Amino acid sequence: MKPFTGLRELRNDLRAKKYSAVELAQFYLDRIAKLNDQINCFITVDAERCLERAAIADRELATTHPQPLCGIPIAHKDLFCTEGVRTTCASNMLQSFVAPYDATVVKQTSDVGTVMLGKTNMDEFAMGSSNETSCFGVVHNPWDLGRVPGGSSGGAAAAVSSGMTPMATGSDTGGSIRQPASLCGVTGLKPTYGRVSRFGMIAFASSLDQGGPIAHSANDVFELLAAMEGHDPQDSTSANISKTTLPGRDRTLVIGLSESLFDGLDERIVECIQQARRQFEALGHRIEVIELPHIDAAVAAYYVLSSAEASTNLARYDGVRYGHRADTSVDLLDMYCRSRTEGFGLEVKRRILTGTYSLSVGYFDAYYLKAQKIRRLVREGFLTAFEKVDLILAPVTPTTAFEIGSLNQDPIEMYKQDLYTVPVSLAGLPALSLPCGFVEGLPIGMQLIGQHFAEGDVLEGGMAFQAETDWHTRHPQLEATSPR
Amino acid sequence: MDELTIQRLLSLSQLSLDDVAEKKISRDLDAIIGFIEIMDKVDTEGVEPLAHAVELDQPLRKDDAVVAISRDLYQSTAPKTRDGFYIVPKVLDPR
Repeated sequence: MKPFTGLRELRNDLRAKKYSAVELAQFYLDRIAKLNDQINCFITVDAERCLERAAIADRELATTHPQPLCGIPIAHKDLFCTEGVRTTCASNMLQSFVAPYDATVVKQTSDVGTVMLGKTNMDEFAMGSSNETSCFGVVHNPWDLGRVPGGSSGGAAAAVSSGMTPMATGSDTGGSIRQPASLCGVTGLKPTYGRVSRFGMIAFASSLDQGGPIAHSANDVFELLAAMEGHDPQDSTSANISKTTLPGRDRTLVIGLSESLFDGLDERIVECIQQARRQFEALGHRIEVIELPHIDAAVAAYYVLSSAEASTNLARYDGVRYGHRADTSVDLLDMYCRSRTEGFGLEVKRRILTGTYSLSVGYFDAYYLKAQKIRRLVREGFLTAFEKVDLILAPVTPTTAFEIGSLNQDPIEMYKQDLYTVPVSLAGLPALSLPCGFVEGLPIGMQLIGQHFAEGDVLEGGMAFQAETDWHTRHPQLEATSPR
Repeated sequence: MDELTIQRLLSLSQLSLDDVAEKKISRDLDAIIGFIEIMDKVDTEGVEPLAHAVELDQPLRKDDAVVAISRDLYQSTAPKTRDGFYIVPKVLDPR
């Protein structure tokens, strides 16, 4: 067994009985036991339950029509509720919370036979771009343990990148799948808002949150998306729309590129994107220059809207129905205040206060409403571009993985990490983040952005690129690294 | 950001901060507000606000009764319950 095997090969091997699902699960559990101390990408590993589930998968594999992902291990970001296994959101607030039900994404992936290895680390309540705000400690980038993996799905991206799981779920509010995928050298998709059910996915900013897959290739991402997507009667914002299909490779795509996005971007990253552009041209696709307006203002609008929604969503944590409750309180209000103060970390408090500010009397029009208007302009900018292009090629991150501790004292510098990802989130579009090069030994990704519900185009573009390049097949040399 | 505003936000948010954290967050909020004022440069005259990016009808499910999760199961996650009620500190003093 090899740690970086793709889903197709794993499925063929399981069906050919080269190894059993139990042996495969044990292989990954052993790898987690060996490497997780260095990377810290798992918060919870439930080996017993995992092996039980794998044994069930083995019985199904012996039948004539096993489910497509039967017996293949998966890791869930620790904001997807899992019945009987704690779901923490990497917060002291939910440190011992055990959900009474599975999130729809967990149920759907389980229904197609996946075997859950455990729950992955993340920024607290998915608020962060570096996985430094987790109450379970920072996650280390498998390519350089002194650097961050990105966030907030940093644990998921690092787990795939280090070969501790062949696939993982993540969630993306302003870049939380795409940015860590880029910094860890793996492939991740933020689906169109509404493509994947949010039921049982702990809320951060409800008009932006979207679950999605992270894996080693666009093909594997497509397979996991197929298990995750679909209308859910329990989420009224989930779209009742047909499943993602691949349009086929025999057509010429028009790919938009906005060169103004390169202003101020590290030239070596620009060169990686330009090389990808040439690759697409060599494949017979056409590049069209486009303009995407209001990108700078989009980051500001995103932080206003997401913080406002967070301040509302996180009002539910009051120490009454679930989550942390302070031990000593003189009265009810004191209990709310102490429980929240003890339960939330600093970044979460900062966002709640920012959101409360922008929603409060006297500031609502200047901040919240203004941000919603900019959101419309940003979306219109994309829709105008899509009148003449099929896909948009863009950077994911302004830098490669940065050093742990280098940005976390300055929220503005941290927020600027999301420059290229939040406009797509505001517009609700699907975007694939996939590796397109290395700068000083660190991976860097690019985004392929599509029209609403055009995941098929985005994935087809990614698969065509990965058929001609090998960036996604490179893996960090972890065994050679000394434990921290 | 002045002390009064911070205290008002903390009260609205049901949070408290020690002096060191309050100073730090106050500085951060000033920086964040300075940062988001870049929005002022965008002319939004006549633009309708947008709450959701994907315009889809919200599908209503059939109005059929379904079995919901039981109260006991939901309350199993609560810090303190009794006889199906959530127990919280006293709100009224009976004296």
